[in-house]
Amino acid sequence: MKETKISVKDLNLYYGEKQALRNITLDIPEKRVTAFIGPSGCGKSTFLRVLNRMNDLIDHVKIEGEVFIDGVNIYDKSLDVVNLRKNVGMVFQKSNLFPKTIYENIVYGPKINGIRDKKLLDEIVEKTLNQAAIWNEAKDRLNENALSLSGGQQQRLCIARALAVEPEIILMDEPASALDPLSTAKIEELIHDLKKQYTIVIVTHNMQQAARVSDQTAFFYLGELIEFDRTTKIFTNPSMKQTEDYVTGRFG
Amino acid sequence: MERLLDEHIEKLKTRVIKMCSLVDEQVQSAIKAVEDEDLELAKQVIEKDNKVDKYDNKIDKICQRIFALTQPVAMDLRLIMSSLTINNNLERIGDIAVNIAEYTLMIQKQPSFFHQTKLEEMFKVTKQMLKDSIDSYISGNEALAKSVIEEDDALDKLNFDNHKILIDIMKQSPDNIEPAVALLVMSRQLERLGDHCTNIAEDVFFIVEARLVKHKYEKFLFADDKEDNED
Amino acid sequence: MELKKRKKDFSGFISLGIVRLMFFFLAFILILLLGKIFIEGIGVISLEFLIDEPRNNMTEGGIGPAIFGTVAVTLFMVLFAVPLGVFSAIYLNEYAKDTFFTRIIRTSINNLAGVPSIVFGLFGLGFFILFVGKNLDEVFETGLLFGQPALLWASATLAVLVLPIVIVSTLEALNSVPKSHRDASYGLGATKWQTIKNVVVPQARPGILTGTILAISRGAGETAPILFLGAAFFLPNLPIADLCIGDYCIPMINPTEQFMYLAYHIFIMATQSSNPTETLPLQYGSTLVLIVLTFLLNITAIIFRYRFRKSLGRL
Repeated sequence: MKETKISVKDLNLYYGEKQALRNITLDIPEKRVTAFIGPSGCGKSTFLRVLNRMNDLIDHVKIEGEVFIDGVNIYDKSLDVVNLRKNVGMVFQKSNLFPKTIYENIVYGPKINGIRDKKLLDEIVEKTLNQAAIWNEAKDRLNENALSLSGGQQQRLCIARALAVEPEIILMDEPASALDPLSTAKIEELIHDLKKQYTIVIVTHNMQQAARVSDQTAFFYLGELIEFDRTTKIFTNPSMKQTEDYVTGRFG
Repeated sequence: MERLLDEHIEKLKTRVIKMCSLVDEQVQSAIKAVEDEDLELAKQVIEKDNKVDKYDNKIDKICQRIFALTQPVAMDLRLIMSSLTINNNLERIGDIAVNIAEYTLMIQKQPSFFHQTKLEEMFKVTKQMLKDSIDSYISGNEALAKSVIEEDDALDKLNFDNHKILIDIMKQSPDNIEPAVALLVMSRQLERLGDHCTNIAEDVFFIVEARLVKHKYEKFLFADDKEDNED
Repeated sequence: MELKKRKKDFSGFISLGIVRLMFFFLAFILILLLGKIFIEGIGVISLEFLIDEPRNNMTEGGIGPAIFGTVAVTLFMVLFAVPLGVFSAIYLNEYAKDTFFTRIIRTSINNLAGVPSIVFGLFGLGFFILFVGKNLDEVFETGLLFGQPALLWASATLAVLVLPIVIVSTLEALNSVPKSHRDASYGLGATKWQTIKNVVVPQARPGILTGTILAISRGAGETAPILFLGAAFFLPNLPIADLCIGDYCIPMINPTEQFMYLAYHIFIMATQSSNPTETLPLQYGSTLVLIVLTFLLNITAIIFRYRFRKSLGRL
């Protein structure tokens, strides 16, 4: 039985007057893949961004409730947010690689954190590119512009970049939605490998992807958490009718 | 929201219902042929079996198409999986009807000791079980399904009784052996028919509640068993 | 299947025709203008013209000092305007909260661009020379060093004039950096300043340079603001002083002196010289030189912008 890595209690989120998340309570286990599914606008991406306080960057956002990671409340006033984001990495829907070389993209994180030793940086680059299963494709092109890679390769590079700061948790916001099926399959394979070391939370609007890739699935609707259970259960015999209606495609 | 899958599922349901009524009719006719010594009717039953086979194939095909083209989950998935097993059971029941009809053609006249056996009662029970199991499947009626499962015990007992009776009859005279054996076989066939009806009834629980009631219906196991390698 | 015959797009044809006409008309005027300047002015251009100082009431000699003055003033102007403009834009765009006050500031910046340049001249005189300069003189007891028309104040005033251009270009460049890149940087655990320094500004460099180019072009050609801020029609010496450390002296631009200025020079020649017809070829020549000089002043910035764009993969 895996330990709980992230524990959320009674989380409410408001964009100005409008409430976007309602009383969310759930425990995310470590070293497993947890998927968030739900129709557009249900709050799953917003909730994902709560976990590394990316919502702080948006004006007029108010958050109530507690989010504990390894027992520490990350919304405590005294917490170093910058350090939090080092430990909780994020991969976005569309590749947002910097217009720099592949090498520079990967070492951006470590350099920001003060690592200057070239040898160490080189090691980090090789290690993370290997972890992201893109070393062979990239090793001869480290000094080329990162944007010259294909879409699927760019996303894997984004994952490598996130790994370079050695997070314990990786959040992925629809990482494969802009990719072709083959690249998507590669990313899913990668996620499967990564979960041995990292806790992964993935938001996806593709139910079959959630079914393939995750161990637990949380179903969100209109800002509420409707059901959270093992993926097998959600897709063979969900407890809530809303969940059943969504996974069978009756709405969404 | 109307889904592409719904069209397939409607088609599937229609075919399964047709298969149900077809097989029900076959069994009724086969039994009537025995009771009335109606050789014509028996012949019809045998001929109609290829229609049953045709439906068997049709149902398999549409399930295959659904699995390949869509990714059914939850209740849809259970419905389709159970359609395959019910299809299987119905086809076997159809075969049993044919066997009974063949028996009729073979012995043509009922032996004198026919009424000493419990066969007539078995006829009544199996006809009822078949009807009930089909009804419970179509309507999702768990109470009815449960009664079918319980009734199987009674049928087993009747079969057991028939064994004793017919063995005694066989002991009475060597001339009795051939017809008695035929009746013994028919009794077993009817018992098997009851088992297939029970299988159909068990599937009702699976569809409605995702409960696997098979094999040990006293124990209600949940769909996602702890035995599948979790944690 | 019914395939239709191609119909003539009449209105499209007319519109295209009008647009083409406009373009050729404008090109014609441009060529006429530049051509006239080139033809009339090229005859006067010689090495002597470019280096020598004017003699004989501007009928002979050259415009060397004016070139020098223009370059010097523009240089200082850029040194003042670009850092101030860029940092202001960074503050406005990245740090300032959207309040009533900041909205007023933004509107004022935009409106500043529409102020007639003579007003800047008056502002420069009143504020830089008569207020700042005078007070500097009092504080440092330098007599009448700062409180008079000088290169320094002319550059400062021009800097204020072109500031909106720099700020607006920089703001646009900063805004064109996609939010996703900032998100990526924050997601990797960078602070706001680290993100601005390492991700936003590098991507905004081409835009900032565009602003610089526009500022240079504007500043080098302005006459009205520098009218009473230090431009002179004729000066015996260049505004150079020696910066001496011990025995070693390096000639440096002396910002406290007056200077000659091409745009001003052309203006005076055309309007106030005693011999306008004789100085006409000189005027054309000077104009041609001013145009080429502006281009040359920009060339460094253009080259840098090209290289930045290339490294960003935007070429």
